[in-house]
Amino acid sequence: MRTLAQKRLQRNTKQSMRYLALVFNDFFVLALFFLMGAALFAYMMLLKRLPMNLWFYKPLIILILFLLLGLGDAVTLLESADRQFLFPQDHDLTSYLIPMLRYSLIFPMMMILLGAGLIFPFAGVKAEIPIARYAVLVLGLLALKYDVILEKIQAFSFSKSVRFWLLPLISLIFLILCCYSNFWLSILGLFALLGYVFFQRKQGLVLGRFDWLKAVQHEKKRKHRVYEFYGLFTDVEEQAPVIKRRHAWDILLPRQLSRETPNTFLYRRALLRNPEYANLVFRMTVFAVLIAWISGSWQWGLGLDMLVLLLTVEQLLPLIFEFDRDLMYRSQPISTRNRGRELLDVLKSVLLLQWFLLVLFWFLIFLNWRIVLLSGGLLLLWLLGVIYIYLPIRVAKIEKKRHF
Amino acid sequence: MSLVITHLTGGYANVPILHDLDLTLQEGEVLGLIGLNGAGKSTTIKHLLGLIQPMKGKIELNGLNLSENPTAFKRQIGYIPETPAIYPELTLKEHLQLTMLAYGLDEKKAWPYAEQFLKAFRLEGKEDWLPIHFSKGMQQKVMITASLLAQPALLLIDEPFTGLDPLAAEVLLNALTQLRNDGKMILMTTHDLAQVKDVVDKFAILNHGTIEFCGDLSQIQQHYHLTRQDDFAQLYHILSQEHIR
Repeated sequence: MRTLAQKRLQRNTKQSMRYLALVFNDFFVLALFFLMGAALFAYMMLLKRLPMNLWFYKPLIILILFLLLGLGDAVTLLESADRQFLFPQDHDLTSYLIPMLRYSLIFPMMMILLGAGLIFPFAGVKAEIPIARYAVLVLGLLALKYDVILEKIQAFSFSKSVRFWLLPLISLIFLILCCYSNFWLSILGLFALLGYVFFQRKQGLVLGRFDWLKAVQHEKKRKHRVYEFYGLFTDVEEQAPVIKRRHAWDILLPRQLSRETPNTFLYRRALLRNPEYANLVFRMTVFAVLIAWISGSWQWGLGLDMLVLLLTVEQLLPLIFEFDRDLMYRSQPISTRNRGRELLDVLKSVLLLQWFLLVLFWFLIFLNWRIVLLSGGLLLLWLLGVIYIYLPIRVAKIEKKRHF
Repeated sequence: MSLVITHLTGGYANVPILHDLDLTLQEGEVLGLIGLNGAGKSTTIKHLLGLIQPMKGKIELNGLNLSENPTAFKRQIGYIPETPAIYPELTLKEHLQLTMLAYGLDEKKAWPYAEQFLKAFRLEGKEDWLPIHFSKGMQQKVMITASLLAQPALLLIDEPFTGLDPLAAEVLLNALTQLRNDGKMILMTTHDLAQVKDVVDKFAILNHGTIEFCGDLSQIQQHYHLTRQDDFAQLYHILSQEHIR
């Protein structure tokens, strides 16, 4: 079991590295570098301006550190098939879960150290928490995080009754103690905390019968969250999109069936309910608004937004082949001859909706009707060019490429 | 109306599963395609749907050829797969609406017909749900409703009763009888001969990718010397021994 755990951890690390390399690409790292630089500069300026020791500083620090404790989850890397094949291995699960527990601690502990480090200037200088007490507090946070993960794994056993309120309560008491009392009381709190963690550890990782269903479901949800994060930046092949019903968005669908063809019918619903496409449109629209806002001038904003809209529609083009692997799509009498044109009909609506939203936000940003009318008109002209000149050529090319 | 398959040889990746297969189906006829696993039943259906290309031979449905006019050919075919193939993005109602669009059905006329199946399958009130979240049996009911809604000239059914409860199986059997009475052709693969014996007119025994025998139940019993009435496991034992030989 230990070997299996190590193999899975290696595979998981390799996969994470592959996706992290895609997420933190050169462009993103550069943007992050500038963003962090700007944020740290603003933080430094704020620290200079802030008055000393106001009443809400310590509660604010407690709140931030308490939220930091919530980052990270128990990684088990259990798979659905394990319910069948590892089912009789309950007795040996501890040797599988120990490496998993250690692995689970890496990310949250890094985040705690990073977060605590960032808050330190504020806590030390403005909230006047001495460095020694702050160090005790950080050590306590690390011990608490260890216990959070430990108890999460223990909760996969049928015999473990989890008291969800207990650890948050202990955490809060410890944080208050460290922020408001003296060094020795904080040390006492830390030892009490370590005693509690030691007591929990002594109980073991698997307490009685293992709840495979719960553990596998938990891991599935955790992986889904991780893949969702990667999915914001790149395609995640391991993640099948979870289709969402989104009743409210039905308003965007044509009421009359006679106005539809089978392909437009399918494309519209894929756009609205498949998060791969719906989130892309949402993200790009938000990005277009932000970029117009940051650019400061309407000319730059217009130019960049033209590019963003083109990029949006480019990324939506693979939708044309979305249903090719569906058995029903291939066996029903749905013609594929004109589907490129049919997709363009649907994309036209998306682009016009984006245009409308952008014009609305431009008005809020620039507060000038003349600018909004001019830039809105120019953007509309650009869109019409994209829809009626550029896209038909692109779609024909894509279809031809696929055909051969 | 007729389906004519002549000298069909086909399979996957240039490995033939069907060898020189001939089959004819006339108006109002129901054919049960039976055979051991791997005999080529589903492969035959996939060829009829155009999901795989024949290596040799011809398939004609009412004079139409699949390769010449695929959409018109498919408009005459309804298909119920063994494993439900649901569109994840569509609600139950939208599955039916898509069928109406694909088959060019008049919505006003088609809805009352669909509603009678929704009621019989106890799917009423779930029209706005995504069937991807249904159980396998319920998903199969959606597939059946959509296929019956089209009232195609030829209905292809792969293992029709998989996952269905006895009530739903009864609804399906009644619907198949109605379609047969309306002159539609039905081709189904099944292992449950006893369940379909009242609906099926003739059975084609598929063995090693060819039709070994075709006839009604009594002819099958006579041909294979089946001694026990309605015990069709005996037939599979015989086929299996032939397979080993």
